Amino acid sequence: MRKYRPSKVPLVIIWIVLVALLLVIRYAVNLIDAFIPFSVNYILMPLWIIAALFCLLVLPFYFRKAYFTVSSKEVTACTGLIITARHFMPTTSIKSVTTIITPLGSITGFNFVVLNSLGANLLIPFMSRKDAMEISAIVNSAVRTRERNEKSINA
Amino acid sequence: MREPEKLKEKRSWLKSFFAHRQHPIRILSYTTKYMWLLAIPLAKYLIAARFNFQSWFQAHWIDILTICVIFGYAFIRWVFVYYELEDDCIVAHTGFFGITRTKVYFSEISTMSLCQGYFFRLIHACSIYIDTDAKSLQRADIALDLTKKRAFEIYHTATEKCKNKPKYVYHSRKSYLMIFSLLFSSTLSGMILVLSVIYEAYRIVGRELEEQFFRRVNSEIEKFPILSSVPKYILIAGGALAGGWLISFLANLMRHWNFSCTRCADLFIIRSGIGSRRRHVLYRDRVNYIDCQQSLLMKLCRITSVSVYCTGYGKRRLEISALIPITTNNQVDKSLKTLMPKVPPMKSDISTGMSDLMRFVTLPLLSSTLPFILGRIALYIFPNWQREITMLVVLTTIPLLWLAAVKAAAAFTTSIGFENGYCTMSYCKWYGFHKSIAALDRVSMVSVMQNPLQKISRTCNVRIYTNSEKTDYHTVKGLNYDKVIKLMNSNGYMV
Repeated sequence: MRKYRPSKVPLVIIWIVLVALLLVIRYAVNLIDAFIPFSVNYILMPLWIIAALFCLLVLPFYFRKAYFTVSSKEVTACTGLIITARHFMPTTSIKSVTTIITPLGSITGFNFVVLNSLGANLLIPFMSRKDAMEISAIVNSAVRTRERNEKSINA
Repeated sequence: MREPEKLKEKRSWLKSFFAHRQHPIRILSYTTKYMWLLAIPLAKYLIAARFNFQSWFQAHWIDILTICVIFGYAFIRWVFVYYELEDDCIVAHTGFFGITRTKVYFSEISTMSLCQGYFFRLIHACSIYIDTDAKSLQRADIALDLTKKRAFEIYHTATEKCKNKPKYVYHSRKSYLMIFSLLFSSTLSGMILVLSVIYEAYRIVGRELEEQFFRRVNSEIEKFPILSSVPKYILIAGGALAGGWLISFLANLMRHWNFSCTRCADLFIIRSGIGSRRRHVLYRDRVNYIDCQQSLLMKLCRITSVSVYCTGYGKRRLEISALIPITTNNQVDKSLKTLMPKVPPMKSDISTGMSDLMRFVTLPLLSSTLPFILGRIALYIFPNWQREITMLVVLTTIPLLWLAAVKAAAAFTTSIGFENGYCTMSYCKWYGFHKSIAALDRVSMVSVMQNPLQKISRTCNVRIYTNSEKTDYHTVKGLNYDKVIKLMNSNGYMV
C-alpha cells in the first residue's frame, strides 16, 4: 500500500501569498498612519506573530504530518493541525470520486481528490498531479470492480 | 371497425389516460398564487352584478381570459405529469411538461410514504413519496398526488411480498403516545425558563416601548385582579408560547395516534395518525441505523424513544422518524427483538467511567462561571440594574449547570462496541443521550480524533459516519486511545 504525502510546493506558495498579503496590509496601514493616534505597530505586531506562527509551525506541521494511504480495499488519512484525526474509509462505501486538477496544477500542486460516500466525504488535498490521478484511478477501479461483481451476483 | 367498438376503445383509452394522471386537485397547485388576486375580485364583481354573466364578461374579459390562460397552462402541466407502474418498477414523468423521467425499481426503494391530510381525505386524494438512498434532485425521488385508489395500488404492488407471510406488530400505548407528544412538542421544560428570561429582558429594555401598544391590553387584563400584577409582556409571550406548544402537542398527538409498526418479510409498515393519516413502507435492509434517545429526565424515569433512520422516513415537515415512539427501558429490548431480530443486544467494548468524570464535567462547569463573570462586568457598567442582572445571571447559569449534570451522567454511559456485524455507540450530544446501532455495511467512514489535551491524557473522540442523504455522524467522546485503536483494528478499521 503506497503512502501519499501532500506536495511541498503549495506550502511555499501559501508562504509567498501570506507574506504578500501582510505587506499589502502594512502598506494600507501606512496610508492611514497619520490619522491613528497610536503606533501602527500595535495593530501589526499581533498579525505578524500569528502569521509567523502559522507559517513556521502550523503549516509545516500539517504538510509534514499529513499522509494518505490508498488501496483497492480502503483509504486512510492522517490529517489535522491542532486536532489531529485519523480517518478510515472502506472503498465499498465510496460511491464516486471527484478529482480537481487546477490549471498549472502539475507545477503548483493544488490538486485535490474528494471521495464521496453516502453520509461522508474524504478530502485528499495538495497532491501532485501524478498522485491525484493515481489515487483517482485506484479508487475508480475498485468501485468499477465492485459494481461488476454486484451485477454478476444479481444476474 | 364498427362504431360501438370504436367508442369502447376510445373510452378505455381515456380511462387509462386519466388513471395514470395525478388527482385533479393538483391542477389548482399548478396555477400561480397570483391567480387568486384576480379570481377573488372577479367573483365579487359577479356577485355584485347579480350573476349577470353578459355584463360581467364584457366588463372583465381581460381578467377572465388571463385566468383561463393560467388554468389552461396548469391543465397542460397536469396532463404531462403521469406515472407508469410495471412489475418491478415505477416510472414517473414529472417536471415541466413531463420532461423529467424517473425510474425507480422496487428493490432500490428505501422508503415509500403515503400521506393523507384532512382535505385530501375529503376529496379521496393521497400524496405518495418514494425515496431511494441516492440523493435526488427533488424533495423525494418520486412525489405524486394521486387518487387514493391509485396510490394504494402502488402501495399494494410494493408490499405484495408481505402476503401470506407472518407479521409481527408493535402497537404503541395511548398513554405512552401522550408522554411522547408531551416530550417532543417544542420545549416544555424550557418554556418556564424562556418566560423568565423574557420577563427580565422586558424589565431592562422594554420600559419605554410598552406604553401605547399595551394600553388596550392593560385595560382588558386589569379586569382580572390575579393577572394585573403580572407584566403584560409575560402574559403575551406566555400566551403565545403556551398556545404554540398546545398546538404542537395536539398536532404531534394526532399525527402519532394509533401508531403501529409491522415487521413483515423485509419490510416495516408504519401506520399512524387520526386526522391526517400516514403509511410508511421501510425496506429493512436499507435502514441506516436505529437510535434510542433519552433526555436526563427520561433517563431518570427509565423511558426511551426509538427512532429509525432510513432515507426518506421522517424527512418531511413536522415528521419524526419514530420506530417505537416511547416505551419503558425494559420494553425497548423486547420490542427491538420483535421488530429487528438481527440486531444484537447493545454491547460495549470500551466505556468511560468514574475516572473520566472530571474530563466530562470540566468544560460545562467552567462555562457555567461565564454568566457570573459577565454579570460582574455588567454590574460594574450598570450599577443601578443589580436585581435584573442578578436574575439574568441566575437564569443563564441554570441550563449550564444542568448541562454539567447531563455530562456527569454521560461519563458513566458513554461507550462503543462491535457485535455480529453491528456497531453500538452510546454517547451524549448536548442535552440528549443516544444509543445508536448501525450495521457495519452502513458505516461509510470512521475517524479517530485527538486534541492536544486528549494527547496528554491518552484519550480520543471516535466519529462514526453512517449512510445518509446528508453528512451524518456519531461522536463518542473521551474514550481510551490505545483501546480504541486496538478495537478498530480488530474490526477491520485500520485507523
